Amino acid sequence: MKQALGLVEVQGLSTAVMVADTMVKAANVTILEIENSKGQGYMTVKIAGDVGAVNAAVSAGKQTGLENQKLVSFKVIARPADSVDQIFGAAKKTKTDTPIQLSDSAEVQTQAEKEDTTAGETSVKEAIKEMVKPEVEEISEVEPEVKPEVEPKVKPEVTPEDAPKVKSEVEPEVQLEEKLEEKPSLVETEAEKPAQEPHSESQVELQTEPEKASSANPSGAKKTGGNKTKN
Amino acid sequence: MRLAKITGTVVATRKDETLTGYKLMIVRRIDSQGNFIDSEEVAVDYVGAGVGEIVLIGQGSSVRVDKKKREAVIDMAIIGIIDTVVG
Repeated sequence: MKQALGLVEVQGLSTAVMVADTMVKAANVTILEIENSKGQGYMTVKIAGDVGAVNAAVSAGKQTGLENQKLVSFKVIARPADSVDQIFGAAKKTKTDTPIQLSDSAEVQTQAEKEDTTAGETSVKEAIKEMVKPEVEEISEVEPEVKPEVEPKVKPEVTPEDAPKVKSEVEPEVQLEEKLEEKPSLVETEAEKPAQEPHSESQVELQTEPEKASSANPSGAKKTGGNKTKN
Repeated sequence: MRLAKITGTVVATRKDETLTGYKLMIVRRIDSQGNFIDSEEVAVDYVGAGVGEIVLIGQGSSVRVDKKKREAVIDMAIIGIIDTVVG
Protein backbone atom coordinates (compact mmCIF):
# COMPACT_ATOMS: atom_id res chain seq x y z
CA MET A 1 0.00 0.00 0.00
CA LYS A 2 1.28 3.38 -0.99
CA GLN A 3 1.99 5.67 1.92
CA ALA A 4 0.93 9.26 2.25
CA LEU A 5 3.53 11.98 2.58
CA GLY A 6 3.24 14.76 5.15
CA LEU A 7 5.33 17.90 5.31
CA VAL A 8 5.48 20.53 8.02
CA GLU A 9 7.92 23.38 7.65
CA VAL A 10 8.88 25.39 10.71
CA GLN A 11 11.57 27.81 11.75
CA GLY A 12 14.30 26.63 14.04
CA LEU A 13 15.68 23.26 15.03
CA SER A 14 14.05 23.13 18.44
CA THR A 15 10.64 23.80 16.95
CA ALA A 16 11.27 21.21 14.28
CA VAL A 17 12.18 18.60 16.87
CA MET A 18 9.14 19.48 18.93
CA VAL A 19 6.87 19.23 15.89
CA ALA A 20 8.41 15.91 14.92
CA ASP A 21 7.83 14.61 18.44
CA THR A 22 4.24 15.75 18.43
CA MET A 23 3.57 14.19 15.04
CA VAL A 24 5.03 10.82 15.92
CA LYS A 25 3.13 10.74 19.19
CA ALA A 26 -0.14 11.86 17.58
CA ALA A 27 -0.53 8.97 15.17
CA ASN A 28 1.13 5.93 13.70
CA VAL A 29 3.58 7.66 11.36
CA THR A 30 7.31 7.51 10.78
CA ILE A 31 9.70 10.40 10.32
CA LEU A 32 11.50 10.22 7.00
CA GLU A 33 13.78 13.15 7.49
CA ILE A 34 14.17 16.58 9.03
CA GLU A 35 15.56 18.62 6.17
CA ASN A 36 17.45 21.83 6.83
CA SER A 37 17.03 24.55 4.23
CA LYS A 38 19.73 27.11 3.64
CA GLY A 39 18.08 30.25 4.95
CA GLN A 40 16.33 31.59 8.03
CA GLY A 41 16.62 28.30 9.89
CA TYR A 42 13.66 26.80 8.09
CA MET A 43 13.37 23.08 8.60
CA THR A 44 10.96 20.66 7.00
CA VAL A 45 9.78 17.61 8.89
CA LYS A 46 8.76 14.82 6.52
CA ILE A 47 6.59 11.97 7.67
CA ALA A 48 4.95 8.96 6.05
CA GLY A 49 2.09 6.69 6.97
CA ASP A 50 -1.58 6.05 6.31
CA VAL A 51 -3.53 8.98 4.96
CA GLY A 52 -5.59 9.41 8.10
CA ALA A 53 -2.59 9.10 10.36
CA VAL A 54 -0.56 11.57 8.33
CA ASN A 55 -3.49 14.00 8.33
CA ALA A 56 -3.84 13.81 12.08
CA ALA A 57 -0.10 14.06 12.61
CA VAL A 58 0.30 17.07 10.32
CA SER A 59 -2.67 18.73 11.97
CA ALA A 60 -1.12 18.25 15.41
CA GLY A 61 2.29 19.34 14.16
CA LYS A 62 0.81 22.41 12.54
CA GLN A 63 -0.88 23.33 15.81
CA THR A 64 2.42 23.02 17.67
CA GLY A 65 4.10 25.23 15.10
CA LEU A 66 1.32 27.83 15.31
CA GLU A 67 1.48 27.93 19.09
CA ASN A 68 5.16 28.84 18.85
CA GLN A 69 4.55 31.17 15.91
CA LYS A 70 7.14 29.31 13.89
CA LEU A 71 4.96 27.61 11.31
CA VAL A 72 6.00 28.29 7.74
CA SER A 73 3.91 25.83 5.74
CA PHE A 74 2.43 22.36 5.81
CA LYS A 75 1.10 19.85 3.30
CA VAL A 76 -0.33 16.38 3.12
CA ILE A 77 0.00 14.44 -0.11
CA ALA A 78 -2.32 11.48 0.12
CA ARG A 79 -0.99 9.56 -2.86
CA PRO A 80 2.30 10.99 -4.10
CA ALA A 81 3.07 10.41 -7.80
CA ASP A 82 5.75 7.91 -8.64
CA SER A 83 8.28 10.54 -9.64
CA VAL A 84 7.63 12.47 -6.42
CA ASP A 85 7.96 9.23 -4.56
CA GLN A 86 11.28 8.60 -6.25
CA ILE A 87 12.65 12.02 -5.34
CA PHE A 88 11.26 12.41 -1.85
CA GLY A 89 10.84 8.70 -1.39
CA ALA A 90 14.55 8.20 -1.99
CA ALA A 91 15.00 8.90 1.64
CA LYS A 92 11.79 7.07 2.32
CA LYS A 93 12.78 3.88 0.57
CA THR A 94 16.28 3.75 1.92
CA LYS A 95 14.99 4.39 5.39
CA THR A 96 12.08 1.96 5.19
CA ASP A 97 13.93 -0.80 3.37
CA THR A 98 17.27 -0.72 5.11
CA PRO A 99 15.95 -1.23 8.63
CA ILE A 100 14.66 -4.66 7.58
CA GLN A 101 18.07 -5.63 6.32
CA LEU A 102 19.64 -4.07 9.34
CA SER A 103 17.34 -5.94 11.66
CA ASP A 104 18.28 -9.24 10.03
CA SER A 105 21.94 -8.47 10.27
CA ALA A 106 21.39 -7.07 13.72
CA GLU A 107 19.97 -10.39 14.87
CA VAL A 108 22.97 -12.14 13.51
CA GLN A 109 25.16 -9.64 15.22
CA THR A 110 23.38 -10.08 18.51
CA GLN A 111 23.74 -13.83 18.23
CA ALA A 112 27.38 -13.40 17.50
CA GLU A 113 27.65 -11.01 20.38
CA LYS A 114 25.98 -13.49 22.69
CA GLU A 115 28.50 -16.11 21.71
CA ASP A 116 31.22 -13.61 22.24
CA THR A 117 29.87 -12.65 25.60
CA THR A 118 29.54 -16.25 26.75
CA ALA A 119 33.07 -16.87 25.64
CA GLY A 120 34.04 -13.50 26.98
CA GLU A 121 32.66 -14.09 30.46
CA THR A 122 35.27 -16.65 31.35
CA SER A 123 38.00 -14.55 29.84
CA VAL A 124 36.73 -11.55 31.74
CA LYS A 125 36.74 -13.50 34.99
CA GLU A 126 40.28 -14.59 34.34
CA ALA A 127 41.24 -11.08 33.48
CA ILE A 128 39.65 -9.83 36.68
CA LYS A 129 41.55 -12.41 38.70
CA GLU A 130 44.74 -11.36 37.05
CA MET A 131 43.90 -7.75 37.67
CA VAL A 132 43.09 -8.34 41.31
CA LYS A 133 46.23 -10.27 42.15
CA PRO A 134 48.71 -7.61 41.24
CA GLU A 135 46.70 -5.05 43.15
CA VAL A 136 46.88 -7.15 46.27
CA GLU A 137 50.59 -7.58 45.80
CA GLU A 138 50.99 -3.88 45.41
CA ILE A 139 48.97 -3.14 48.52
CA SER A 140 50.85 -5.66 50.62
CA GLU A 141 54.07 -4.18 49.39
CA VAL A 142 52.99 -0.67 50.19
CA GLU A 143 51.67 -1.29 53.69
CA PRO A 144 54.95 -2.43 55.23
CA GLU A 145 56.71 0.51 53.68
CA VAL A 146 54.51 2.97 55.50
CA LYS A 147 55.01 1.56 58.98
CA PRO A 148 58.75 1.96 59.24
CA GLU A 149 58.49 5.48 57.87
CA VAL A 150 56.01 6.67 60.43
CA GLU A 151 57.22 4.99 63.60
CA PRO A 152 60.94 5.69 63.51
CA LYS A 153 60.30 9.40 63.02
CA VAL A 154 58.35 9.63 66.23
CA LYS A 155 60.66 7.50 68.32
CA PRO A 156 63.92 9.36 67.99
CA GLU A 157 62.24 12.67 68.80
CA VAL A 158 60.84 11.47 72.07
CA THR A 159 63.54 9.15 73.39
CA PRO A 160 66.48 11.42 74.00
CA GLU A 161 64.48 13.96 76.01
CA ASP A 162 62.26 11.91 78.29
CA ALA A 163 63.69 8.44 78.45
CA PRO A 164 66.68 8.79 80.74
CA LYS A 165 64.95 10.07 83.90
CA VAL A 166 61.98 7.79 84.37
CA LYS A 167 63.13 4.60 82.66
CA SER A 168 63.91 2.57 85.74
CA GLU A 169 60.64 3.18 87.55
CA VAL A 170 57.83 2.95 85.05
CA GLU A 171 59.13 1.22 81.99
CA PRO A 172 58.60 -2.47 82.75
CA GLU A 173 54.88 -2.18 83.40
CA VAL A 174 54.24 -0.01 80.40
CA GLN A 175 56.13 -2.33 78.13
CA LEU A 176 53.96 -5.24 79.13
CA GLU A 177 50.81 -3.28 78.53
CA GLU A 178 51.97 -2.12 75.20
CA LYS A 179 53.05 -5.52 74.07
CA LEU A 180 49.60 -6.73 74.89
CA GLU A 181 48.12 -3.90 72.94
CA GLU A 182 50.38 -4.32 70.00
CA LYS A 183 50.12 -8.04 69.60
CA PRO A 184 46.50 -8.24 68.46
CA SER A 185 47.15 -5.75 65.74
CA LEU A 186 50.17 -7.69 64.62
CA VAL A 187 48.22 -10.88 64.64
CA GLU A 188 45.56 -9.30 62.51
CA THR A 189 47.97 -8.06 59.95
CA GLU A 190 49.64 -11.42 59.82
CA ALA A 191 46.32 -13.18 59.53
CA GLU A 192 45.11 -10.97 56.72
CA LYS A 193 48.08 -10.94 54.53
CA PRO A 194 48.83 -14.64 54.13
CA ALA A 195 45.37 -15.09 52.63
CA GLN A 196 46.18 -12.58 49.97
CA GLU A 197 49.73 -13.46 49.30
CA PRO A 198 52.24 -15.88 50.75
CA HIS A 199 55.22 -13.57 50.23
CA SER A 200 53.94 -10.94 52.57
CA GLU A 201 54.35 -13.20 55.62
CA SER A 202 58.05 -13.06 55.56
CA GLN A 203 58.03 -9.35 54.95
CA VAL A 204 55.69 -8.67 57.81
CA GLU A 205 57.57 -10.86 60.21
CA LEU A 206 60.84 -9.33 59.31
CA GLN A 207 59.54 -5.88 59.78
CA THR A 208 57.39 -6.48 62.81
CA GLU A 209 60.19 -8.02 64.83
CA PRO A 210 62.35 -4.97 64.74
CA GLU A 211 59.26 -2.96 65.50
CA LYS A 212 58.65 -4.89 68.67
CA ALA A 213 62.13 -4.36 69.80
CA SER A 214 62.44 -0.77 68.77
CA SER A 215 58.94 0.41 69.56
CA ALA A 216 58.87 -0.95 73.07
CA ASN A 217 61.45 1.37 74.59
CA PRO A 218 60.68 4.60 72.81
CA SER A 219 56.94 4.23 73.09
CA GLY A 220 57.44 3.34 76.69
CA ALA A 221 59.30 6.56 76.89
CA LYS A 222 56.31 8.33 75.44
CA LYS A 223 54.07 7.07 78.17
CA THR A 224 56.58 7.70 80.83
CA GLY A 225 56.72 11.21 79.49
CA GLY A 226 52.96 11.39 79.92
CA ASN A 227 53.15 10.00 83.42
CA LYS A 228 55.85 12.38 84.23
CA THR A 229 53.74 15.35 83.40
CA LYS A 230 50.86 13.94 85.40
CA ASN A 231 52.99 13.37 88.45
CA MET B 1 -7.66 14.82 38.46
CA ARG B 2 -6.85 11.19 37.99
CA LEU B 3 -4.03 8.85 37.21
CA ALA B 4 -4.14 7.15 33.84
CA LYS B 5 -1.93 5.35 31.42
CA ILE B 6 -1.91 6.00 27.69
CA THR B 7 -2.62 2.83 25.76
CA GLY B 8 -2.92 4.14 22.23
CA THR B 9 -3.82 6.87 19.81
CA VAL B 10 -7.01 7.75 17.98
CA VAL B 11 -7.15 9.19 14.51
CA ALA B 12 -10.39 10.86 13.50
CA THR B 13 -10.28 12.71 10.19
CA ARG B 14 -13.87 13.86 10.20
CA LYS B 15 -14.62 15.46 13.52
CA ASP B 16 -15.82 18.64 15.11
CA GLU B 17 -13.86 21.62 13.88
CA THR B 18 -12.97 22.70 17.38
CA LEU B 19 -11.01 19.48 17.82
CA THR B 20 -8.77 20.20 14.85
CA GLY B 21 -5.10 20.12 15.72
CA TYR B 22 -5.53 18.22 18.98
CA LYS B 23 -4.01 14.84 19.61
CA LEU B 24 -6.49 12.22 20.74
CA MET B 25 -5.18 9.48 22.98
CA ILE B 26 -6.69 6.35 24.47
CA VAL B 27 -6.27 6.44 28.23
CA ARG B 28 -7.15 3.97 30.94
CA ARG B 29 -7.26 4.85 34.60
CA ILE B 30 -4.78 3.18 36.94
CA ASP B 31 -4.27 3.05 40.69
CA SER B 32 -1.03 4.05 42.39
CA GLN B 33 0.27 0.48 41.99
CA GLY B 34 -0.11 0.70 38.23
CA ASN B 35 -3.12 -1.64 37.93
CA PHE B 36 -5.80 -0.77 35.41
CA ILE B 37 -9.01 0.00 37.23
CA ASP B 38 -11.47 1.32 34.71
CA SER B 39 -12.49 1.16 31.08
CA GLU B 40 -10.69 2.90 28.27
CA GLU B 41 -11.57 6.44 27.33
CA VAL B 42 -10.42 9.03 24.82
CA ALA B 43 -8.77 12.21 26.02
CA VAL B 44 -7.40 15.26 24.26
CA ASP B 45 -3.70 15.75 24.83
CA TYR B 46 -2.51 19.18 25.98
CA VAL B 47 1.04 18.32 26.97
CA GLY B 48 2.56 16.09 24.28
CA ALA B 49 2.40 12.74 26.02
CA GLY B 50 3.27 9.49 24.26
CA VAL B 51 1.94 5.96 24.33
CA GLY B 52 2.86 4.06 27.50
CA GLU B 53 3.27 7.10 29.71
CA ILE B 54 1.49 7.61 33.02
CA VAL B 55 -0.40 10.88 32.90
CA LEU B 56 -2.69 13.14 34.83
CA ILE B 57 -6.14 13.53 33.34
CA GLY B 58 -8.71 16.16 34.07
CA GLN B 59 -12.42 15.98 33.35
CA GLY B 60 -15.26 18.38 32.82
CA SER B 61 -15.33 22.10 32.29
CA SER B 62 -12.12 22.65 34.21
CA VAL B 63 -10.08 21.42 31.25
CA ARG B 64 -11.55 24.24 29.13
CA VAL B 65 -10.49 27.17 31.29
CA ASP B 66 -8.07 28.32 28.61
CA LYS B 67 -9.59 30.99 26.36
CA LYS B 68 -8.90 29.14 23.11
CA LYS B 69 -10.35 25.95 24.47
CA ARG B 70 -13.46 27.46 25.99
CA GLU B 71 -15.56 26.72 22.94
CA ALA B 72 -13.99 23.34 22.19
CA VAL B 73 -15.90 20.10 22.67
CA ILE B 74 -13.37 18.64 25.07
CA ASP B 75 -14.61 16.51 27.92
CA MET B 76 -11.44 14.88 29.12
CA ALA B 77 -7.87 16.06 28.73
CA ILE B 78 -4.36 14.94 29.52
CA ILE B 79 -3.09 17.80 31.64
CA GLY B 80 0.22 16.45 32.91
CA ILE B 81 2.88 13.79 32.46
CA ILE B 82 3.69 11.99 35.69
CA ASP B 83 7.31 11.28 36.53
CA THR B 84 6.94 9.34 39.77
CA VAL B 85 4.12 7.93 41.85
CA VAL B 86 4.77 7.06 45.49
CA GLY B 87 1.91 5.49 47.38
